[in-house]
Amino acid sequence: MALFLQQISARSNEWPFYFISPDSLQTEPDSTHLSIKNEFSYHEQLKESFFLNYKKSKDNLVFNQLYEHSVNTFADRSFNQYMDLSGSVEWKDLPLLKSVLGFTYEPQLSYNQRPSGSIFRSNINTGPYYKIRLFDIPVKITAGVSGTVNEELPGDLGSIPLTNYNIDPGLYGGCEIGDTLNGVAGKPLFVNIKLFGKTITGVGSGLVMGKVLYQHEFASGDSMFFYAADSLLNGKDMLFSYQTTPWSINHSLHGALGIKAKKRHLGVIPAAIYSYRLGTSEYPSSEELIDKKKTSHAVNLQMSTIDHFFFDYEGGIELAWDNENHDFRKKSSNMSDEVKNYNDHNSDLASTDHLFRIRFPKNFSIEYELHAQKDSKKYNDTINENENDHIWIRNHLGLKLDSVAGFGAEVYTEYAKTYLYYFRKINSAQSKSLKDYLVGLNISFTRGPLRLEEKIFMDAEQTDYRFKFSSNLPPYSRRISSVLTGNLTLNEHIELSGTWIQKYNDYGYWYGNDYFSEVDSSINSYYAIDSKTHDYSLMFYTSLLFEKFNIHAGVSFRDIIQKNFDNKTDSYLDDNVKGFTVEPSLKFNFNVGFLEAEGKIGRLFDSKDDNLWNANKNWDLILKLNAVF
Amino acid sequence: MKIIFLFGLLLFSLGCGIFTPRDEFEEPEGNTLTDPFNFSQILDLTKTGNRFSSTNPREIFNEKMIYSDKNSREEFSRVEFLDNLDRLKLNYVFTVSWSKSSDYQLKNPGDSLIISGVKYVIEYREKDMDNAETLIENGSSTFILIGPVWKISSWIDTPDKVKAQSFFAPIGSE
Repeated sequence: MALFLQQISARSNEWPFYFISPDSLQTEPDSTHLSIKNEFSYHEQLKESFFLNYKKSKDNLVFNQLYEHSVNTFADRSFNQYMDLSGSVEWKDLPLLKSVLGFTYEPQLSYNQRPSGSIFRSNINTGPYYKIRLFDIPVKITAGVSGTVNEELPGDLGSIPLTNYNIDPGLYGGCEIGDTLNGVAGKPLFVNIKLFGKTITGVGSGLVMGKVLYQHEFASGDSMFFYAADSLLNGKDMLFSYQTTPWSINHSLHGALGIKAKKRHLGVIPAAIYSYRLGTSEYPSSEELIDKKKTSHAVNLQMSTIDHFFFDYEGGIELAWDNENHDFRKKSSNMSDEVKNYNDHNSDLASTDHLFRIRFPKNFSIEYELHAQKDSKKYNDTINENENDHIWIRNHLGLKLDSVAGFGAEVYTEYAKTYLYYFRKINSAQSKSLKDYLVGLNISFTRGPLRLEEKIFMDAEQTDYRFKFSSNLPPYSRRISSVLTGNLTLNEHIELSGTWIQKYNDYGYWYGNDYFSEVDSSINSYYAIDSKTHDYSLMFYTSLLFEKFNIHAGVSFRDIIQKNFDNKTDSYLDDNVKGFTVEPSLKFNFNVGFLEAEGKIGRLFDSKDDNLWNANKNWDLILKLNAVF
Repeated sequence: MKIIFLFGLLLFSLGCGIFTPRDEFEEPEGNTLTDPFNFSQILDLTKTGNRFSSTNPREIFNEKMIYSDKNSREEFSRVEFLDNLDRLKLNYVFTVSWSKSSDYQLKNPGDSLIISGVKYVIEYREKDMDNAETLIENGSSTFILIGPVWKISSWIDTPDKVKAQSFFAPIGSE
């Protein structure tokens, strides 16, 4: 399913990531090194994630040790904890073809505590592996034993004796052929095949996956790309949850062929791609679960011309046809065909993205963007209420003046229209279209040590229902936002900055006279505001800037005033839920070559919070560390 | 040059007409608002007068919505989560009620709502099965909603059961 989601979110004018050659420089360094990464944050909940990777090489002996630890705490005094202590020892450059013999151990532990009890899980795979290059193709074979613990506890870890923990033994084995980072025999052909199988107390799982990428450049300078990836996973979850997860068979296939022409007249580069995807999920032993099969064909056309002429253009269109089929194992003999086919559907998908930019002298440019997406679902049966069209179209036009005599400006406007239409009578009353209008202005001015920047925009969103009922009026909202920032550089090490943010938004319903035509056709249309919100913030910071470290200390003040319409008094009343907040904070970052760190210490004071002066509450703490030795 | 011109013409002509919706509506059965999971009750609890513009699950969750079950190591996207809600509607007869737990908290920083400690009780049984047993599940949730047209952008679900996944979680997620 993840592959299908990537297809929808990628822009149609972007070259697909799967056609891009891997970066062979990403291989791990051979020499001894230690890298440490830590992320800690505390704001209502504590999150800690620590990662250590140590590699030690001496002569032909290599030792690898990983330590990963994460903790997430939650408001109801529960937490999740995870630990991974995987490692390996290798003997390299053995007499036979300079092969490698290694031994790996992969202990992983998970502990989740709740008010009602806890659950402890652990899994360890351990065993030897052998790596060799046959005809310059890397091959790795691995096998070993495993042990798994899955204990539900009435209290914390010590609530039952350790001797009462049950360990389920198992076996695993696998092999890997090929390399995802280096081409075969120095050619642009990347092949990788993996096979892996594991069994725990008679419950098993097998995985087969393969990937190939081939790039070919013709004598004319045009290029062809071929990509294929296939994976088959049959069995249960083999980490912690083999006892409770259902047996599943998941198959995923993706094939694509692309052609990219060389740069031609006006610097134009046309390209075309065809892609096919197949995904199936089956649950052979679970009658209540639904088997699924999804197929997709997609055609993509792209054209771009960048940095060749006085204008830039990047555009693309992608058309895709999906089919999704569900199979109910349960009650299939008693179920009518209409219900069995209930969720079977075809989707017609389309997306188009265009960027057109004209560059004029004196740093002036005009830019126009068009983005559109469509997802049209057509169900095989006649009763599924989800038969719908979802279409979104956005236009953006901007004029930009870039840094002339210290002055820069950008004015832009956007218009977006969204259709969400349901076609079956149970949902058709909710069919609607939304129009979004936006106008914005950004101005910047720099003179000596002073820089000022103002960003302002106005936005309105209007909804209109396809079927108009006075009992279901369309929402309407408006928004104005202004952000004014000033920076004053006192000297090379000290900078002062201040920001003033002012926002207004209102939300309500549009009393259009076409919604009351059956009741009273003389009503004038109007916008009835349900709530109004004024939100303003002031921030002041002093920054100390040095070569290896920076410190930013300051305070922010924010007040939000929301008024809701009250029918009884026919006026707007303060909601009295929100108060004002003050947050002093200190942010820092430093970089001393082998060590990078950044962090924040802040404390939020909310005038409406009962824990205003509680020393243990309302802190906002962040610390990120990255060290490489 | 001709090829480029034809290619560009093909690119633009393909876009014409594709991005217009169908016009094949069935007349609505009055103004029916379906809310099988009773999501509207989540905003009713806040007593702020805010409400969802539609109770159709497809419009309550915004495009980048993430659902996570604390008993699972996975997070689920809107598409995966909505597919699972369809499965639940198909297989079960159920009622869902939402209320405030002792840890209930409401925070409203500007154009978002953070609602934590929302307790839920689900009573469900399998459809079309004679003598199917009615089961009850409980849990607690934290929601983050983005306005001004309120939509749920994040849902962290904590079932009361320590081990098993939530009723709302997609299958095989434990």
